[in-house]
Amino acid sequence: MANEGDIILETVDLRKQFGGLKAVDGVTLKVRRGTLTGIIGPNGAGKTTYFNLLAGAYRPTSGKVLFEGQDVTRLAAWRRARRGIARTFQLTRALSRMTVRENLMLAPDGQVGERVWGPLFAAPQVRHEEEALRRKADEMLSLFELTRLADSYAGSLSGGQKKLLELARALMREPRLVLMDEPMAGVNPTLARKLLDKVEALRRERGITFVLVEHNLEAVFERCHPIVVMATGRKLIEGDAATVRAHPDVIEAYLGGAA
Amino acid sequence: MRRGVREWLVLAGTLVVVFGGLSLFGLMSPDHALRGTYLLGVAMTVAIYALLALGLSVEMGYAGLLNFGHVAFMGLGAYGAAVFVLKQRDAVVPALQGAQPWAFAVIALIALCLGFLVYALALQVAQRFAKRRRVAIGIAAALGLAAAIYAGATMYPLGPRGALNATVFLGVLIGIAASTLAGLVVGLAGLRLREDYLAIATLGFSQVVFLLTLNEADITNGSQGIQSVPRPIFDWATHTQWMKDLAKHWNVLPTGLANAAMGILCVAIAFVLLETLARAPWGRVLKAIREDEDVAASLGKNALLYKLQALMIGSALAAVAGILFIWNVASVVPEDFLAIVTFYSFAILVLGGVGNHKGAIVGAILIWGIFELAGNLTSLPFFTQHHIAFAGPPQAILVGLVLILVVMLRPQGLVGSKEEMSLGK
Repeated sequence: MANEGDIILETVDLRKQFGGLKAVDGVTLKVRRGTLTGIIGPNGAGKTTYFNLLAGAYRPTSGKVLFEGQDVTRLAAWRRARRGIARTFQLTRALSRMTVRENLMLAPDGQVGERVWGPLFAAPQVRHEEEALRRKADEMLSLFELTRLADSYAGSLSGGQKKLLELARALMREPRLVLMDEPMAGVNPTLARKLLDKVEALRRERGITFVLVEHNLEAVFERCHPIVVMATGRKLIEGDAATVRAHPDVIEAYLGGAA
Repeated sequence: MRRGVREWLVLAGTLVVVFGGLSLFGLMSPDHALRGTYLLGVAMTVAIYALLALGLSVEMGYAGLLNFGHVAFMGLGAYGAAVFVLKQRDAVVPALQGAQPWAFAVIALIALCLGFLVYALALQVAQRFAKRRRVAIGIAAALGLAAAIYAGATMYPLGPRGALNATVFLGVLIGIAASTLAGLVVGLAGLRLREDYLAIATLGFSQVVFLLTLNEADITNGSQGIQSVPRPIFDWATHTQWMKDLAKHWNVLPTGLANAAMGILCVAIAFVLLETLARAPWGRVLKAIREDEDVAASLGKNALLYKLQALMIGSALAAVAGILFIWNVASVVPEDFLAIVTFYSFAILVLGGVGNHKGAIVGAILIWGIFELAGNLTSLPFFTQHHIAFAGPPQAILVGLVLILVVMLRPQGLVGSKEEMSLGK
């Protein structure tokens, strides 16, 4: 089943149109399991729209999204999440009025206590489950060095800490694919490096596939393989850092028609 | 922990201030027996409003849903119960007496409801002591079954009074079911709208319900309303010796005592239920949806399902409030369910603290306390009959004033948390 290197995520001629604007205009892409794929492109290239199509926040105008070989195009975001896709957001969206630990304990699927009868008719089971969740959350917190913030409201965290929290929360779900929308935006360089180190380690140790959309080209060139370049809603090129860097179309896309 | 204690203290303090203040006025009243009964009446009204506010608290405080038509669900509960009992009484009551198949089915239904209640309660206790889940469920189920069989056996066959009580019970089920179903339907239609539009849609719904109760005179008697609704608690209290003795001992009317006890019991049960749910992962998901629905979805939570559940629970509580209301006043007219009742419920939540079930109870005591205290002011010696005639508006003004003061001085409400408030979204 889950072989290293098979195709985990695939889009086939994916399109999204907002009125007259073709935000994503026929993107076909295959993401291999266990890779750290970086999507780059100038502003307005359609990266975030494409990303939202992958996560299920938008329905495509046409085309298909396949996850682990199954068509998930018509599935709502929460159903895709249950299949094993986790995501983070461009502007961090911690659940402000919940504590950091609550943010993490919320994440996993299939909790008995989440059903309305659970707390009333299966109280011991729920208690048991909560203890296990709490342990798991605390492990995740220590992995991300957030332990001392466990009982703070998530809204009181700094921007960088919220990014860490988002990633930790996504990982609580034990996803097979993590989509990260500009994980480094607004994060100081040290913390950004730490974040990417974490991603790299998780990819290597747990075999989690990461797809990130990012504006920080240096980081992407350094860490991601393969790299996908998008411009005006299309996939321009896909390859390793050297290929992408050298490609004339990429230079043109970034510098505009002038080059 | 410390915060929890503080919240209970606020609740106790509000109770003491409001009911203490009302008792002081009572001391001036010459009629000793009416004084205590009057306080019980206030307690009953507070209980009804607390139930309404608790329903709204689940919807707004936890799920973040603005339901401006909350009163409609109260009305549906009240009318559902009253219409069924009064219109069908002549057909249903005879059918339930003696050894008839219908009587048997209805008794079985009532016995099962009772048995389930016993099962649920026993399970809460058994779960604490029994090591294994199966053992706990087994014990609770055995007790529930025994209770159901015992209840069924003692009820069968029904006499005239029993048949009437059974009809009333069916009415209660119908009222709650009607309201809960309406919550589901309104939710299915309205939850696809963005948040503020839900408020408008629900406000519209409450207007529709109001106009239906006013104009569908064949069913609801229109603006005349339904009079002399059977009051099972009232009847029970007037026929039960120990209740009468107890009431005599405390120098109050037995009916007032029984009503207030029923109201307080309902509030207590609702509060414990909601608190249990709120502290459980269920409440955590609801809070997450309130904070950010997209994040909740990205974590695999089906937001629509949870919002529907919140709406249905809120509607069911409103229905219970409506039924208590008609049992209290023995009549129901469309004007009982005007939009102002919804907005009093909102005022209660704001006063007490949004997102905190204790706040709903504190707010209800306070709002009703202010109303009653203001009304009693006119009994002070320097007020004349002339003043008393104009006592209504100052009551509403006083409530408004307190609301403004609370919003200015304690925007998080009396028991709300300031930190949660300031973090916002």
